[in-house]
Amino acid sequence: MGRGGSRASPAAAAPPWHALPDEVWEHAFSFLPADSDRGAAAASCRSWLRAERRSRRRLAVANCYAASPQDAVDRFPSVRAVEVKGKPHFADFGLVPPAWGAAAAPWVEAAADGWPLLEELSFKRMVVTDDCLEIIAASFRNFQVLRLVSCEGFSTAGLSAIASGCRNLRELDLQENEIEDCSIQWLNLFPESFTSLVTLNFSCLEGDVNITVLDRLVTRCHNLKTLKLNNAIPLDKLANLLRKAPQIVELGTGKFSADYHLDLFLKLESAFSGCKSLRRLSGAWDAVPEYLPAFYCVCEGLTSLNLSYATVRGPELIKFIGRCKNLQLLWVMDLIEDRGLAVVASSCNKLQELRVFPSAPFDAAEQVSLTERGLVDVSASCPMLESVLYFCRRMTNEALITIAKNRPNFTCFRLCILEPHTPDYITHQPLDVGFSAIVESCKGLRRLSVSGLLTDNVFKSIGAHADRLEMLSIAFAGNSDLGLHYILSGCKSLKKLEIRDCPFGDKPLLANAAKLETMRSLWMSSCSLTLGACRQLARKMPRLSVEVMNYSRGACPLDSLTDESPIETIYVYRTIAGPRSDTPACVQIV
Amino acid sequence: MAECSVRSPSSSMDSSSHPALSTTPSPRRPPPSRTDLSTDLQLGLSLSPASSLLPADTSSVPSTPRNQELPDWPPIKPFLRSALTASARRRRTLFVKVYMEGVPIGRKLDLLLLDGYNSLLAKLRHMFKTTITYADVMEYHQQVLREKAAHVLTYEDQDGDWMMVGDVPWELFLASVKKLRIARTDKC
Repeated sequence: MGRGGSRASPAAAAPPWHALPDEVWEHAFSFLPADSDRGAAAASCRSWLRAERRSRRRLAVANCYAASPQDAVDRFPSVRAVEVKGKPHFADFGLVPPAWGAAAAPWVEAAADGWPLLEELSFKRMVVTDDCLEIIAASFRNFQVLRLVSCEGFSTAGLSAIASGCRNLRELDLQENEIEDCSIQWLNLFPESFTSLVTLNFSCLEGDVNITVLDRLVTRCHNLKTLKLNNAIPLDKLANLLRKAPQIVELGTGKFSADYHLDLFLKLESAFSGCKSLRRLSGAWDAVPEYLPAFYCVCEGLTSLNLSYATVRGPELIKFIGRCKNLQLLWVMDLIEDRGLAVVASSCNKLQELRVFPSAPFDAAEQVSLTERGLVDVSASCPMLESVLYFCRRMTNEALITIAKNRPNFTCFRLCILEPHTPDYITHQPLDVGFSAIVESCKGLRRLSVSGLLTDNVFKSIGAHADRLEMLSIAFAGNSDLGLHYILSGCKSLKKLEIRDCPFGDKPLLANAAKLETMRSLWMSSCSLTLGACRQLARKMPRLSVEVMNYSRGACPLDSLTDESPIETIYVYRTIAGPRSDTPACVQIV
Repeated sequence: MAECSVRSPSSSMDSSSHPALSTTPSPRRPPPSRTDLSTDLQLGLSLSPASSLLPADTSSVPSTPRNQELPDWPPIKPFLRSALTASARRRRTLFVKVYMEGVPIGRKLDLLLLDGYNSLLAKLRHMFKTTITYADVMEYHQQVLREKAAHVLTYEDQDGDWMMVGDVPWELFLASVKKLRIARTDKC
């Protein structure tokens, strides 16, 4: 169809869209990477649905119980990369009972049967057993990427199967998993001919790793870009490893402490100076100030610095961070204090994400001078800052208003004031006004966590203004049902809502039951819900799964409880797979 | 650590018209029963890495409004939490993994919250909902028949050997235990 073609009979000249062969559509769809776009396109007509399902290469399942693994395999037969998430987010903080569920096994088995060409597998907050890892190692001819995040249930024996079985592995990325150490030299099981590794992250592994074996592996994998060690790797081994991999882009060091020896320092310094491509640095467990200057030669190049496990403080820390002028991401402990954040503000103008973790969350007497001041400074000087997670002990409305004014570009704002119900420490007022300023000013906010003393007023503001908010976390806040009603009747884009220890009851939940079907999940624990409301909700919304967790009652069958019985925890999510059948005794589906 | 039984519904939520403007929150839930650890742990076990940033003298620390730590607040991921807990000065921990035969997932248990074999057994019976026995040193030698239990408690010591729990005094056990395994008695 030339541009100068006749416009006289357009309908006759071009073949109608629907007559194009499926192969053409499948090819066209390969240029459509975003899942939301693909979903929208698939919903438009039968042939597009067909083409989309056949051409889908990547699949993300945000809740492993939202669809059955077999349905996923049947609908998308050509998938090469799958990501499945399991437990609710609050599992990260210990609110979900240990045996809750989220077994990876059904997904692994279905994938082994239906997707023999699978190349990538990611699981998050799931129970991955050694058997699962063995099946993965044995089933996929061209398997390349295994990413496990916050998973449990496996051991170094399972990792041995991966190492010996996956000949084309590019990424083995183990983040924050609980891995049992079976004293197996699993790294030794990568064959001598194996050189394809690009990412190796075992930072969460407890226990020793054979340095000689690791050294050999790092030496022969010339494309290694990411290497994250665990804290069992002593500092004096790091320099040697780095010399074998000068091409490294992302490094997680092991333990960064040792008695000070000038020799060791110089060795480290020279090894780092050889790493011209290093951009991301993490680890630095137990870092001691004496060795921090060894990093100086890479500071300029760093875009990402994660020191959330480095319990180092004082001028050496601040001097180090102050040299990292190109940081886009910085995670630190509150030991950086306000004066350190002032240096970040003046030095790191490209900062996009800041996280500050508490070094002594259970001890209010700990003398750490980290207040609202530090966040105000950074928000004033870092124009690209859009994501914040900030733990502190005190905050003011004035500071929050200033921060909101400074940074209307926030997409993620998570503030955790350590002591629940802490008011503005100057005016002793609730922090409603401050958080309202955040949602009113930051139109693109997608994630929000609120804390401190808050009344229902703040939720009125959130419901009315946070139009693009997708995830909201609430703890120890609100004073009546109205709070929850404001959220559920507003917040147009809300997908995930997690609430703990708030006086929210049945009424707003039932009044906004239809909203829950538009959301991915709702978690409420230690609120004021009754079993009767859960029953009504389940009856009203058959496509929702309403899970009830009553820890103190044990396995008391729901049928024997009256509608008035209080419910400790509910977890509600939409599903096309019906109620799951693997619930433990302390979880029951209404 | 999240255990099915330690939590209770928050019944004390203040739902009056306006929340009290106090910095000391009312306790949300009863504190887990714990023995005081400050006095009886003179074991000389270097159980937690000494943290260089913490002053050695802790006696001057004033008591805080809420020094009872909630198991799930503040919202910190378990890896950071355990790293922090390990370096907390007053609260030493000795986490070991407990496995039960036939159950794929191990559970973590802080032995320093327990005051002896009896409380360990009580805790495990509750966690795993089964009857468990152990080789109490005294009774073992007297050949006293114990109640018939489905499981028996064993542990892996520092040398990697599997031993019957109860073979040494509690303090020595704390110094040598690496892992616990609840084995079925019919297999022993």
